[in-house]
Amino acid sequence: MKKINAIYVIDDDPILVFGIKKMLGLVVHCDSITDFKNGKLALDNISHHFKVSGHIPEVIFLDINMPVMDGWQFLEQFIKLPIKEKKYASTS
Amino acid sequence: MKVRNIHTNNYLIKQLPKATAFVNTKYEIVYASDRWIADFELDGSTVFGTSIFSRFDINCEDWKNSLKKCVKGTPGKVIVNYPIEEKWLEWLNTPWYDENENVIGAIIQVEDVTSRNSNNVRLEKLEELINDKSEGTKIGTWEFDHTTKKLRWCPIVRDIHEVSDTFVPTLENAIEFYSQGYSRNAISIAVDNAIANREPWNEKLEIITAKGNHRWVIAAGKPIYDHDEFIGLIGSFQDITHQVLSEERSSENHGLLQTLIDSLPLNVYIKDRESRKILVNKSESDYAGLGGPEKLLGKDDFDVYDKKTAEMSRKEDLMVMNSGIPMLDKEDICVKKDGSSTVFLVSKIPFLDKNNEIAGIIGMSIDVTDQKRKEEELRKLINVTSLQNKKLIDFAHIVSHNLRSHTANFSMLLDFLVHETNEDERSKILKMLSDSSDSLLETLNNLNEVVAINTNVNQEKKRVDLKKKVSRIEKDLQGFLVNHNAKIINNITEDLKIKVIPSYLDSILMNFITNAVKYSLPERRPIVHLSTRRKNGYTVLSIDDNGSGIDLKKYGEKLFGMYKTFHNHQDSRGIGLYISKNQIEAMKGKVEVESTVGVGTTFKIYFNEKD
Repeated sequence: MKKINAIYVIDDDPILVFGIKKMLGLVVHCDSITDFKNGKLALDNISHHFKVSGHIPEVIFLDINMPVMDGWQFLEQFIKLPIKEKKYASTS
Repeated sequence: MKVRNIHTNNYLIKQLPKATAFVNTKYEIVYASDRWIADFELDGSTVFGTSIFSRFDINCEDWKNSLKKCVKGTPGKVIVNYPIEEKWLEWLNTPWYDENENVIGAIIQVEDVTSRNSNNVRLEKLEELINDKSEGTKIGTWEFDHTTKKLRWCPIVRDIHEVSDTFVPTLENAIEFYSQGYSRNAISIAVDNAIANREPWNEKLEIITAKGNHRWVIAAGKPIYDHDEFIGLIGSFQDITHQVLSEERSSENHGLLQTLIDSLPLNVYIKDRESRKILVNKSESDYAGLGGPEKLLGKDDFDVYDKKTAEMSRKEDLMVMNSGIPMLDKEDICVKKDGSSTVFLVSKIPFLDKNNEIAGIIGMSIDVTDQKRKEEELRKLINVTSLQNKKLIDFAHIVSHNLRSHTANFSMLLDFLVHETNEDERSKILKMLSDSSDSLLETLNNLNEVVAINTNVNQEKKRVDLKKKVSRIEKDLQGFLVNHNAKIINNITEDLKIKVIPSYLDSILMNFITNAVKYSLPERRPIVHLSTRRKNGYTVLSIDDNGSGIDLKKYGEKLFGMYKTFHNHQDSRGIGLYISKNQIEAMKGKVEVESTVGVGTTFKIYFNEKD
């Protein structure tokens, strides 16, 4: 089973977050799967971690329609970060 | 018979006052009056005994023949031109008889008739002229002699009456030619008046000729007097049937044209170079409302329209007149002096005079106010429809997205449940299923509400006192307001009534006020300020807060969307503003927003005053 460091799930629907987490548990080894209710919370976390450790999560599941900061706005901010390798997926 | 001594002039004859000569049958001059000798400047000693033909160099056969006949016993009179002095001489030749009634020669009396003769010639010429003129103009003359009671008609008058050559006119039968009624009465009165009061007359009357034709004539006459004594009437008589008929025809044509332009459902007019109206039809004069077409003639647009409209119209006139290019179907909004406005489709065409020079303009306007209004209504309707269409599509998107996410959750959770063996995990999944089901139910309720608002647009509106309504809502929200330490300032105009669906107004006020309080800044006491004003047929309610504000650049488009929230508030569901907006629009109002992040937000709700 492939091992992945960190996965972020950004979605305002707790059921979907639960489902994703459950299904991921079946296919990958991952020490930390973190979820965020909206883009803003996730972006704040990622920026902070990136500043401190220079690492970002290997995989991000991103919802489009969310309150406060939606998927598009998150992406706009996210690509401004000086990250070399980028890996992300998204759901809607 | 003894031949008279021709050398001895008879003393008696010598003294005759007129130029007289006696010739014998050989045409030799026997006696002559001194006057005769003097008049013709003859030599008294040699004249006697010489032939009269050799004495007078007159080359006139008539004169010779007359003398020749005379010595044979026939008297004669001949006027000859005497070339030496350019004179006209009248020769009165009388046979000269002796005691036994034998012709022994001729007695010649010569008179200078030059002046008389030239008068005659002039008279003849004048008569000729009159005849010519009469022929040309068909003016005849007539004369009535009071003493003999005879009426004389010239050939033209006879012609006009179409009488036979033998017809003898009298004053009475002449009057009977006039057609009964006005014409006959008029001529009878005119003649009586002329005889009694010396008044001349000149009348246009109708006669019926001997052949039964109707003719229009100008009958003129005047009485003539000799030393204050009435002696007769003279006058002229002219056939004007042709003129009258053509006049009638042209007035008939004119009438037809007038009827035509008056019946046109257009305003038609002709203006001169100074833009003064010189012809208008009924529609135009009715529209101008100055009372009758004659009141409008000579007036320009400044007398009918307000200044702006008149100036525009004058400018158009000048452009057409100066360029000679017609202006066709231009849409003008014309405002009259009384303030009423009409939309016209105006055409202005250069009006050319006989010399093909532009003398003004021909104008035609069609009142398209109604069409314009309908067009406007149609446009509004299209706007409403396209807006509703857009809303429908939005709604469909919302519905599909929301239902889909719920059903996707269901199917996912159910899938987990089937494969899960751990009891704890199973109960956790079941709890989620139940939550999801509740959430779906709520979503459906929300959607239902929106559908209800948009379908029940014809709910009855009532007049509601806005200020009182806000006070009541404030009371209902007392607990909520105290919790947030919020203050409401109700500055709405007293007794202001708006026409609304009451339940919608409740929901709208409740929603906007709670929003204003909810999204306050923690460090500021929330203050909500409500006020009203009127604007373009709307009552505008402003709801002002000092809250966190919204970044309209980012969220402006989504603010009133369904399930859009912009705050991390627990109870923001993203449905309130969407429903409020739908309710406002269902009451034919609108909502606007202004906001500055960190300062506050103002919502302006427009309540339609008309319907």
